[in-house]
Amino acid sequence: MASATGSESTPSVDSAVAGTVHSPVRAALSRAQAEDTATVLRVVSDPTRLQILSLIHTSANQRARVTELTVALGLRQPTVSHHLKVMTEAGVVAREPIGREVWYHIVPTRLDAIADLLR
Amino acid sequence: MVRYDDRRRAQIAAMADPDRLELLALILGSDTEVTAAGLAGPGGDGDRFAAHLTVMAQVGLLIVDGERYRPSADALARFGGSAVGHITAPAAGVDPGDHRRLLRRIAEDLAREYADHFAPETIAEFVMGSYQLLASRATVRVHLPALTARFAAERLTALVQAADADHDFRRDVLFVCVRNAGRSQIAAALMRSVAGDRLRVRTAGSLPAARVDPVVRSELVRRGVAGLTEFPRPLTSEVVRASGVVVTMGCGDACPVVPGRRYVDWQVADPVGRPAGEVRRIVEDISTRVQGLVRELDVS
Repeated sequence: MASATGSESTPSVDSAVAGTVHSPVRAALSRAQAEDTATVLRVVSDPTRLQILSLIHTSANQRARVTELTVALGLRQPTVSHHLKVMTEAGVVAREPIGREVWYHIVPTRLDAIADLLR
Repeated sequence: MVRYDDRRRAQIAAMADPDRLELLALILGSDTEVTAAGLAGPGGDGDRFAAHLTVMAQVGLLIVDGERYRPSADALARFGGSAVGHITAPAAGVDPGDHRRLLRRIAEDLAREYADHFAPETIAEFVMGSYQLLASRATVRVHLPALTARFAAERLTALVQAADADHDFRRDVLFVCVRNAGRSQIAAALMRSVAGDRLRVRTAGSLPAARVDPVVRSELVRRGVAGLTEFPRPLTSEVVRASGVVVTMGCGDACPVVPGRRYVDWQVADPVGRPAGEVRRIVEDISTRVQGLVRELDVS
C-alpha cells in the first residue's frame, strides 16, 4: 500500500540513532517519520476531532459536509468548522468544493493511520 | 459511528511524541520482551526510557511483567501501522526488473476479478504496493510474483469484506505474531484443519520473516496440517479490519477495542530457533487453544 510517510524520507538507521532515542536495536522508524506521525496524533488526540474523523470515515463515499457533522455531533457550526480548519491545516483532512457545497474527506495518505486509530 | 472513549484518546495523546513512536517501533520489532535498560544499551539513559515505557503502560499500550514490557493488542492495532506497518515498503522502492511484465499480468487478472469493486489503475497500484511489501524482506526473488498474486488477492478480498456492511465478521480469524514465521503459522494451520471452510483464517506479522521457520514447518508436515505454500505476510490494516477475531501471540493482551471485534492474546512461547521437541510442545499448546476457540466460535 502506498505509504503515508515512505516517499518523504529515507528510513535511515543513522538518522534514528542520531535522534534522542539511542538503541542497539535497529530502528524501524526514521526520526522524520516519527515526528511527522507525532504531529498528526497531537492534532487528532481530541475527543471532538476523533468523532469528526469517525463520522467522515463511516459516511457514504467517506466524505461529509459541515452541516451533517454539526447535526450528528450536536455542536455549534463554528465549533465544528474550527476543528475542521485545524485538521485541514495539519493535512489530516482536505476540503473539496463541489458546486456550492464543501465536502471534507480524510487525506488519502493518512487514511490507514487514522483508520487504525478509530479501530 | 465508532465509539469514542477516553482510553483511545489517552493512547493517542501519549503517542503524539516522536520518542515514544520510535520506542514502539523498536518494541514491535523485537522478538522478545524488552526492558528499559536493554533498550537504552550500555551506558544509555535507562531512566528516560523507563519513563516513556511507564507512560505507554499506563494507557494500556504496553503490558508490564516485572521489568519487562511487551506491546498490547491496542498498540498493535492502533499504532502498529504507524510504527511498523506503513513503512515496511522501502522508501526507495525495490526495482521489480524482469518481474514487471508478470506483475502487469497479475494486475490485469485481478482487475477482471474485482471489476465490480476497484478501478484497474487502483489494482495495478495495489499489486505494486503488495510486491514492494514482500520484496523488501525477501531473500529469494524467484517466487515473488506468485506470492504477490496471492498476497494482493487476499488483501483485495479483505478490503471488499471490510467495506461490506453485511459481512459476518465472526467467521474471520486473524493470527498475528511478530515474525509470522512460527506461532501464527502453527495456529492458522491447525485451525484450518479443525474448522475447514467454517472459518476464514488469516495470518500476519508486524515484522514478518523471510520464510516460515523450517523446524515449525516440518512439525506441521509431520502432523499433516502444513499448508504447501504458506509464507510470512506483513500486517496490513485491511486484514485487521476484515477480521472479527484477532489473536495476538507474544505481542498483546486482550483489550476490548471495537464492539463486535474481539482481540485475544495467547501467551505462547516462540518456537523459532527451538529444538524439535520443544517446538512439538508449543504446537500442542497452540492446538489446545485453537480447538477451544473453534468450539467457541462454532456455537456463537
